[in-house]
Amino acid sequence: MSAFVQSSSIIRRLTLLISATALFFLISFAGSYLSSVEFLRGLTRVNEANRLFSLSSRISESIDSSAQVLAEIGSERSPSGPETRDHESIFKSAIKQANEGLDDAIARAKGFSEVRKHLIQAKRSINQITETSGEVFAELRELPPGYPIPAGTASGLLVANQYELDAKDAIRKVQIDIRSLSDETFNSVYSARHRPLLVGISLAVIFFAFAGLIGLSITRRLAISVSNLLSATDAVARGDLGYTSKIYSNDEVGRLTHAFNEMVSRLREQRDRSRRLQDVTSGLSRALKPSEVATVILDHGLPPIGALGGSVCLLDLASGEFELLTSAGYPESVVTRWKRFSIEAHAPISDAARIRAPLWFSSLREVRERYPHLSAEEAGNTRALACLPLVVEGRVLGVMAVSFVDEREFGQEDREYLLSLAMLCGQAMHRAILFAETQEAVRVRDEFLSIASHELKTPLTPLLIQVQGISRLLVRGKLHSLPPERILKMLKTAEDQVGRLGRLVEELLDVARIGSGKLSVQPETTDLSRIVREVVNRFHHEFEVAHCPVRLELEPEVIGEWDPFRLEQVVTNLLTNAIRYGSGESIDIRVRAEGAVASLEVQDHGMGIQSKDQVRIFERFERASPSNHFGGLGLGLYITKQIVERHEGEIRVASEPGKGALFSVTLPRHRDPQKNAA
Amino acid sequence: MRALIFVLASLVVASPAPANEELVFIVHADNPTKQISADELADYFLKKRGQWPNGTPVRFIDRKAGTAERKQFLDSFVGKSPRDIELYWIGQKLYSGDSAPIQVGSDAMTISVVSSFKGAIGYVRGDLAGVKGVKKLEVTGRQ
Repeated sequence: MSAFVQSSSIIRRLTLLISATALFFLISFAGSYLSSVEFLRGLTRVNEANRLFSLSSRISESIDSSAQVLAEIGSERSPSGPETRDHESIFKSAIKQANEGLDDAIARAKGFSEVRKHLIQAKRSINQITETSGEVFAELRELPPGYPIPAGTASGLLVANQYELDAKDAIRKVQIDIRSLSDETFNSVYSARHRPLLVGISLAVIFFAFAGLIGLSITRRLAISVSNLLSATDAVARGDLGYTSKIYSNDEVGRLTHAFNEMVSRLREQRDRSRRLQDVTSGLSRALKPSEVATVILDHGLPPIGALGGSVCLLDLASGEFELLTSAGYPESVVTRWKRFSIEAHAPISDAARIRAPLWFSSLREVRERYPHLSAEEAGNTRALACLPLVVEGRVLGVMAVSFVDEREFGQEDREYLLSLAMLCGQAMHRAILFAETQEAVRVRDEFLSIASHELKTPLTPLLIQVQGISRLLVRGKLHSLPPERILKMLKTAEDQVGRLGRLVEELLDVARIGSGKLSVQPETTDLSRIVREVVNRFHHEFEVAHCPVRLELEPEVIGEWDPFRLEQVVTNLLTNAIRYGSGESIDIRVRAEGAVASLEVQDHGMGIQSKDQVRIFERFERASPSNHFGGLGLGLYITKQIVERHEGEIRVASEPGKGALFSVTLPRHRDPQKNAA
Repeated sequence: MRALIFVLASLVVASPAPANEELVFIVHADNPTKQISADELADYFLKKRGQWPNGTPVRFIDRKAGTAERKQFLDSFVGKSPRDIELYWIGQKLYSGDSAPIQVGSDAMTISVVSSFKGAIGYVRGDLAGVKGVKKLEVTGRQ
């Protein structure tokens, strides 16, 4: 899967948008809160100022009261004692009120510096009033009744009055300041009345511009991408897998589009692969021979996964060797060298067959690690290798090997494909082998039938002639004219032919019985030497005709538990062959007893048997000679071998062309009771 | 105080003829200022300046409206009519809170008050001989 680098994110942009919105609201709230706080502060200040104003009015009134007292005193010609006391108490209370008011006002005027200054000044003046008026009242109290106010006292009153005026001036200044302050505050608050609205509007403008930009950048690309993706999904739904959607932006939608494209291309690959496998299957249905199967596999099965080389090897279980059926992509020298090799070889193919499991090598390094002895020439262009055994019904038929020119991680898909291919190959190979075996069996049967019909006809024809001759003589009434010896001879000939025919039929029946496992063997105490002697005597005539001198080396009594009838068959067959293929040379027959076994050897000095035929001659219908040359069905040695093996013996042949043949039979003299259960 | 009474009495007795025509400006005896200009004087009167050079607050002692001394003072040193002054003080009271300076009736009173306040300044017509507690202030550049 090719890499996709996500460089932007819709989600992040949306988050940004939401954050911006939240921030906008926060700022708006903060802004409106702040402006209302300022407004409130202004109001509070104005309120405070108003309180101060009313307070200062009360102070002013108190000062007026005290001034009034002084004025009253001044206007009287002769204040009396009691009146003085009244005046003094009123005055003092007024001053006290004024002082209290001033203290309160000064405390309240913390935020109003100018006002506070004037208030402090007023307080100073009040203090001066108190001081001066104290002297005045003292003098007045000492004044005898009826006396006018002395000038000094009058002067004192004047001074006190002056201080009163100072105090009133100060309070007036306080009030003027408070008024202008209120006006100022109100004006500033009023002039700033539009500010929250303006701030709000500009914030909103900024925000919407910002949000609009982000929103536009998201939606525009998003709309195009999504509609593109939708047409792509439609195309895929219709079955068009060649579609690739364009990626407009490296964000989540881009990632989705990329993933979609990857998915479509994977589908396409899989579809192509399954099509190829179908091609392989239909090709295989037409392949009849193992080599044809291998060719179809390599031609149609390798290209879909990009393999450029492969081979199919068949395993011969009997010899333990692989045979290279077909290969592609390997140099000629390698093909020749690996035409046949053992299952024990230390090579990937043999290992896969032995462990019955596929071997995957993703790089040349991995192959080298396990098989360091493989040459560079053998490795060739291979950078990755897969060896899959072909297993059918639990049996390893062979191995399919696939090689690649690039390193390859064998993922799930690759493995599934190759395993399917190996399974198809194995099954087709199995079918082809069975077919070949069937064809071979049919061929052998046909050959046997043609030989059998010929061989059976051979004695039948003269027999028929003899019988027909005799019956013709009888019909013509000429039978009595013939000498009895002649008639006897004719009958004897017929009898011989019947005997020959009978033997042939027996052989066929024996083969049938062997095939169905019903070959009867009835062991009894038998002397092998005696049987040999009897058969040799019987063949006396044939030996003479063939001019083969017979030399016998028979130990006197070679006793064992064998079926005498079957042993007779064996000896007869061996002797017949010796005569047939002896080329007129001498025939040696030896019978010995060697401990628990008896051995029979028949040696001829005739044409001999080629080594390649030495195994084949013991098979059904096989003859190591041109078909019609020596007659017979080719069943003799097969039956002989079966009989010998039923007696748990062995039969071997040693021969070289031109130097005759030695057939050796060894038979155990006593049967093993456990092995008897056949 | 007794001395003052005596001084006042003697002044009344000892001056049959109209006093000197010149206005004499007096300040408290402790006031270090010896001389001011007419403009400064007007400023002190109109409360445009509130402090002496040494920082003491100025307290102007005016004479009663309608008196000759006042008229002379206004004409010669301030250059405004009484009506102007009246209007001025109405405005000042409203806008700056300052009220008009105290108005006393006689030289004796002036002397008495001036000697009571360290920053006081007033004007008299009479003679200052033997007067304690105040001293003369030169005023240059009259109108």
